[in-house]
Amino acid sequence: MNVRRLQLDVDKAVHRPDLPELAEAIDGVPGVEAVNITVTDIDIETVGTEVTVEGDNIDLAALVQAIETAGAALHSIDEIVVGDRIIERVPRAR
Amino acid sequence: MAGPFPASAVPGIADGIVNALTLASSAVLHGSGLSVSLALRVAAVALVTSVFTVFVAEYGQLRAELARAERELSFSESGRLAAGRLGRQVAREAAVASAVASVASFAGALIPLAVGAATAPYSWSALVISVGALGALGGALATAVGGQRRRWIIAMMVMGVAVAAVGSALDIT
Repeated sequence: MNVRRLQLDVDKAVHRPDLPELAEAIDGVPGVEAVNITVTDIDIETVGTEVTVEGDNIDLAALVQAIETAGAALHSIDEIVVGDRIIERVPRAR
Repeated sequence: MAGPFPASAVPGIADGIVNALTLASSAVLHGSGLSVSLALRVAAVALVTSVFTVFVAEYGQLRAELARAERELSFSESGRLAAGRLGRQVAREAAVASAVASVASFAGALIPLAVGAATAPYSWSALVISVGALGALGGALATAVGGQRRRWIIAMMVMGVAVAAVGSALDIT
């Protein structure tokens, strides 16, 4: 299965790891070509982020391991795109 | 503290000065005087105790932060953050803080005592320098935290005199 894109719900503690550290950990995963980390919410102790990863043959197990080793928590996979090309979500007509 | 000055150097310096006052005040006040050997031994005590106490305090606090983060992130098992990269990172930070504090403690103890040893028979200069250094440290802290400088300076110097009095009464050296 050629994983091309993933959108992940990742939470981390406010103080560590910082976003560059988390991005570096994800960028080192085999198959990852680009990473986008956007903070979606923040409180006193935690930061919620939306992580978008694109590439070719992304190693999903290694990606999960990298996020957890970096010190963040993967809460859910919200979108996954597999195949020879990336297709966008097509909303239902009705 | 503002600027690049490591935070752990401040308690390190204070610890060294207090060690000097506690361990050497009786030698100064009861007539045996200060020597370079005594100054080095007291500074070594300050360094060794600082390494252990600062590392335990820093590492304990940082590990507690990781444990709190695990609860906030709803991790199913405890110790996961400490077992990974963050655990190694906090151990490194605690070791650096301990090293900085111990060097600062060594210097904080050695410098006034060495001056006292060098200015014999006026070894009491070591106590004056130590109490004055505590006052200066208090002034710097007051500036950093927006406190009242005079109050901090006086409080630190009074504590220095009290520590010297305790050290003299204990008569350790």
